[in-house]
Amino acid sequence: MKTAQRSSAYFLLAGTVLGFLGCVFLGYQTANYSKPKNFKRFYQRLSLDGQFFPPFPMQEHLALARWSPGKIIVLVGGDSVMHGIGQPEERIWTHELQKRLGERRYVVVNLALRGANAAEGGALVAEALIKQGFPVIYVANARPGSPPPAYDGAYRYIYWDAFYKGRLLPFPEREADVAAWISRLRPDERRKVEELALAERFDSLLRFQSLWHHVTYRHFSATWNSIVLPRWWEPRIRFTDPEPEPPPLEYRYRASEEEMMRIARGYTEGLARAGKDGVWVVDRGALEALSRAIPRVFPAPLRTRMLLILHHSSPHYLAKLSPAELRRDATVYESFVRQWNLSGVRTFELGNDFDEIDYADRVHLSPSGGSKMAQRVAREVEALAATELFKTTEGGK
Amino acid sequence: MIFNTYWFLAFIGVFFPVYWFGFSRTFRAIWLLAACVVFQFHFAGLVGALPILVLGAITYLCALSRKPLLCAISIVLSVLALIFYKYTAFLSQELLARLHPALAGWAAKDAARLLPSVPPLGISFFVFEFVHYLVEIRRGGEPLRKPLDFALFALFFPSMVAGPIKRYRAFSESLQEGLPNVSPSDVAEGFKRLAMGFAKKMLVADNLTLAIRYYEERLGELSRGELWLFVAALAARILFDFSGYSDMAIGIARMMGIRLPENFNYPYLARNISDFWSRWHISLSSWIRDYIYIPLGGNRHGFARRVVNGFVAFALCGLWHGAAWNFVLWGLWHGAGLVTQAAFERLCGPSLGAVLRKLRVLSWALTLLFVCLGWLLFFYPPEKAWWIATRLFLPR
Repeated sequence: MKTAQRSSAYFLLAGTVLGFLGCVFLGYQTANYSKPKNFKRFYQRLSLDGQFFPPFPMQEHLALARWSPGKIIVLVGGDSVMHGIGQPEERIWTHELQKRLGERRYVVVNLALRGANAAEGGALVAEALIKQGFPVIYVANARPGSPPPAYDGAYRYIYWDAFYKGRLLPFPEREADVAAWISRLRPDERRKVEELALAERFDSLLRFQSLWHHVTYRHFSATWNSIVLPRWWEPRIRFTDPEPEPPPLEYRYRASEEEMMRIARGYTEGLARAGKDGVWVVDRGALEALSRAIPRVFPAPLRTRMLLILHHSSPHYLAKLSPAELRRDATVYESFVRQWNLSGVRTFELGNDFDEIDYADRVHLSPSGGSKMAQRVAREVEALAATELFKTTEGGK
Repeated sequence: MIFNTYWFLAFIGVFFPVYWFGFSRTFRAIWLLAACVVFQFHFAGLVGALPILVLGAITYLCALSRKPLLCAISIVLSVLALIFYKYTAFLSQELLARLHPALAGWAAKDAARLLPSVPPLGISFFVFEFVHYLVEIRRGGEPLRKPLDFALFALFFPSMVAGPIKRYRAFSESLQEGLPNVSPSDVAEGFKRLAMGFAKKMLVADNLTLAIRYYEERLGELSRGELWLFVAALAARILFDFSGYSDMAIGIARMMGIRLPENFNYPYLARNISDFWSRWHISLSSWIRDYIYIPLGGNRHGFARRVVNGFVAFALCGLWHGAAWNFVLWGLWHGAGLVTQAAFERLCGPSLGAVLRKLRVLSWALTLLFVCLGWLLFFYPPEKAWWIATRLFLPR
């Protein structure tokens, strides 16, 4: 009896170990190929809202899925504006961008994430591809102010995921900032960050995130989620991108006017002060903070391959700003664009000459606005691609 | 939830291989104690660990002296520590403020300044185990003489956060037996239990939690049938969450060759309230029976005294779960259930009582309904619980 018990225990333990090793093997396998089918963007059901945290290897595969030697990868990062909220899947601005740039020399990939900043997600994928020698142009957006770092936002898991998998460029300034930031955190918050870092450290060895997300995308979901009700257990591959056409113009700007105006004003409020003669003077401290932050957030090889858009709110709201506020906006945007450019990042304003119809709401672009953005970005991409930087890589990796 | 953190995974990943391949009983015991201390300091920090260590030292020394007075003082200290860390805010805001507002103001401001932001990790469990130990010593039990044995009883990490509440004799025996003889069967059985606990917690309870959070903001939109499903989800969530946690604790201990007491035994199959309490959080209910209900007189002094004792014991049981009125009401709800059950059996007489006992499905359904309605009081403030309960039964 005891011998039977003992051998059944050994079988169970051996089975557990083999099962575990089998899962690790499958994790490595899926990390090598798993990615969403016919990918256009990380729509809501493939996002944090849907408890789906695209692992870094999946994002890298998406970036390289349509690439072939001789092509430049135009990687789109940033927030919901770049993601294309307000544009249904078939009329998303990055389609238009691809069309304008042509298939022969460019591959456009939209890895922008709702609520992400310019340094998160796509920026890290671009960095990883640059490290491997791929020709990459990274396009993202921001608003006036200093760029937040990649390790302290909603998508911070991507930073730790990439970091522990050794995908990022050597960047001692950022690592020093991370250490200093962690040391300043409250104990409970520090524990959360350490737990996340430990999870990603484990994943760098075991690849469970890749396996889990592959299963969730292809086979079944084990996590209840209101976004995919009532069929929350079904694989995400069965769900489509739900982004609708924006409503007709007369129904478009229905959000609280007061709140929207507060946000629109907030873009430049506090970044400049009015001089005696009514001329706005941009806060030197803010510009200095920006010039200090850029080289600590974006590594040098990424900065030279990057296009940054400083976007404006819809003219529906800008038209309601006072002349003084409009002058402040103009001064601040101009100064921040100049400072970004001085720091080595090609930067331009977008939206200040758009019409109300080009916006789906206060900040997101409608298909017509997306088309205008694509036109402008295509011009900038081609200008950047014509520089020496890309001549050396053309035709090779 | 501590057992599903990556830190804990790394922790047991280091702990177990050394423990299993440890060359002697003493080595394993010291290694286990070191692990318990690391666990406590990691999750509770110095501020959280210190009160437990001080209380533990006092408990150990007082018990060692075997002097009833010292044991009684130590019991009072433990209970006061529990009240201070867990109930100061509740007592000052809810009770003292009505009796003596000035004193309540002092308690809220000055005493609260001394309190850590959260009570020391597992203080309710520590205090209940220390009180049990000291009472048993007062009753003539043999104290744990070796500091190592007592420290392992006090700080045993698998049961530190959510029980089961251990009894020192059974634990000590299991420790003596398990430390030198951990077998592959223990490891396999423990692992199965751990996996079961994880599945209960992560696959069932955590998903139910997500759904409950979503629907509790939309209760007004639910039909009556959906509202019943919501209550069923509440009942299932707490069972799978808590019993999952207990399974993990029992499983981890078993992987060391140590057996912890069972805490759940299919409680939703109970056919009356006393049956429910012999199946639900068994280590707590038996503690309350042994150290509150029976010392108060139990059912030895007539029906009226039995009723009072039952209400006191259950009110304290409710309060143990959290410092808020809804927990007290939940305890009283169960106290009322037990009194009703006892009164019913008395009124019906033995023959009708026997007939009723044979209606198994009916008694099971009534018990389950009673328990499920009780969960409304456990999870929500009384007004909201009442609002849900009325919509379960009455037309809108």
